Amino acid sequence: MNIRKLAWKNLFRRKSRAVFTGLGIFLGIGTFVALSSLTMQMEGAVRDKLDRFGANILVVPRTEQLSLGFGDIALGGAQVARARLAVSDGEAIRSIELKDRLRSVVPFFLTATDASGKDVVWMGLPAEEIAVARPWWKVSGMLPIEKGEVLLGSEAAALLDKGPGGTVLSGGRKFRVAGVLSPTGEKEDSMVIAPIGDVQALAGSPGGVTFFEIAALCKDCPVEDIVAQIGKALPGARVSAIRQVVESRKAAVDQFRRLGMAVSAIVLAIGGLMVFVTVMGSVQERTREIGVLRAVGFRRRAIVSLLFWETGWVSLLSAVSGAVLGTAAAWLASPLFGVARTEAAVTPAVIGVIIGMALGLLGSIPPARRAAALSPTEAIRSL
Amino acid sequence: MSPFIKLDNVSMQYGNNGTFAAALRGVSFSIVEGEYAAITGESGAGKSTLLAVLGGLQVPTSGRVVTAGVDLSELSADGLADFRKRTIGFIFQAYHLLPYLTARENVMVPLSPEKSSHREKSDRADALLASVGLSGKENRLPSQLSGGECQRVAIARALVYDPPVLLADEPTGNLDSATGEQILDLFSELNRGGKTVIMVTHNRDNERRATRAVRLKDGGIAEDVRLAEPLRAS
Repeated sequence: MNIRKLAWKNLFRRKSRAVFTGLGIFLGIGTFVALSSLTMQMEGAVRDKLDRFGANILVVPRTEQLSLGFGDIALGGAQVARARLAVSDGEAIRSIELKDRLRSVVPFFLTATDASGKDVVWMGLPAEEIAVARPWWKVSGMLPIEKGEVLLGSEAAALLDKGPGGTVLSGGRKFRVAGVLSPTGEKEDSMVIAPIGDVQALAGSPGGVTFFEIAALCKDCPVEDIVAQIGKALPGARVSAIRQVVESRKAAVDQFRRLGMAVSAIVLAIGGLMVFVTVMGSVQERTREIGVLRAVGFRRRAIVSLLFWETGWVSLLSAVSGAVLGTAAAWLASPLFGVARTEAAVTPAVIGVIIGMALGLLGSIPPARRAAALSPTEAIRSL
Repeated sequence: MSPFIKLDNVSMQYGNNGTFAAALRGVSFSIVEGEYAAITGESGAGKSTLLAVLGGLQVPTSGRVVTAGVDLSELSADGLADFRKRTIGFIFQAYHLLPYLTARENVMVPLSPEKSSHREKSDRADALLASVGLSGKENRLPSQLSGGECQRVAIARALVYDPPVLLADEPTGNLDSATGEQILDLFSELNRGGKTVIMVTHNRDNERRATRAVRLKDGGIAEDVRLAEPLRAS
């Protein structure tokens, strides 16, 4: 017989009280672990979705602004590129130190030229990259996959009066309309989109690139470092992070985390209060027993130790079962939150058990102090 | 004969908000080692309060209690706990056994904070249960024992540290007369073995087992009668 065993035996004597004491921790830790696991999974899913949603780094040729004027007459200004970009610059970008963080590097080439007698802007990009660079596009027909095929923006299709299967003439070549883009509200609505090689040929600029769009994987988002490394690899280019996208990614993820933490904190606080109330009630109920223990020579520290062991056992069992429940709940509920089921996260469960133990012990400090301060005469007086 | 326990003008008051009731009024007496003292009196005479003061459960409002040369008023709460553990064995009228523990485990309860092995504690408990006539009942819960047996377990528990003094508060109060006699026999046997026994009782018949009768009335000593010489005096 020792204090630990005495505490354990007392728990079995008061099963319903032990269950009620543990219920707060069980629910609190269950909620904490479920929300934390879910938040972790959602963070990953949100990052992934946002990464797929679009680029977050833009690489354009470095330009200088020249002002034009004569005497007092201002004729506006012109931007003059100091260097041009080429498709081969894509390799330089893919060779930076943080290349593992680059999900896609897509070259674009823009030119304004004739299409079946109308002046329109042609946008070229690698046919195989269209789905990666613009995953939200909805197309009537097919995406262009071969040379000689084009995709018409909705306004361009109306202007040219063409649809899937039609043809567009430009530069003496005939292009087949593979599909028509549903309205996006962006500039591409008025463009003809084609494989980059075809657009470069129309403009007489083989290998030329107007800009690169780079999608970086956003885990920990070292965007500034990526930008710096690309800038170093391409000294003639201006590299800029589209900060709004990056910030919105972080904000979305942070919102999930804050919501999860707030709900968990509330439930854990209630759990801690339940421990406090039930252990305090237990002390009141056991005044005589504590008095007898004091009478037979238990020091105050032994009484505190006894109550801590009791609460410790309850907290450990409740926290572990709460962590198991929370992990299972998060795993089962993840599809409801649009998250694919992955391996169960261990970290929130471990943290949950530690928090549960701490909560139980903290909640039992005031009752334990009260029990230790009880006079042993309470036992005599109750006779 | 030097006193083992000495009370010097001990008073005890209860109350608050300016209203006080005196449970003990200037009580002074001494008990020598090996004495068997019966403290008697009507309800409210101050018997249980005197026992609490003697056992270091309560610090008197005024006066001094010196036991085995130790002034109890100079001890801290934990010092008093250590004093009770080593010097005093308490036996209560309602036994105060822990209902979820077996007889053996109840005897082992005071040893719980000790570092000694389970085997040592268990052997000690079994030996004490055997000495009070409970061999073979070590694994029974209090609910499976008679009142007399429960009181024997409580006596075994009181003896676990082999204290020189046993304080019993109405130890036969919950028992029938035959069982009560057996418990009193046990106290006599322990006294013969050298224990100082101080028993609070409202039953004047129980006095005949004692070597001394201290009769209380209204918180003071009304009568202090030597019935026989202590069996072992130092």
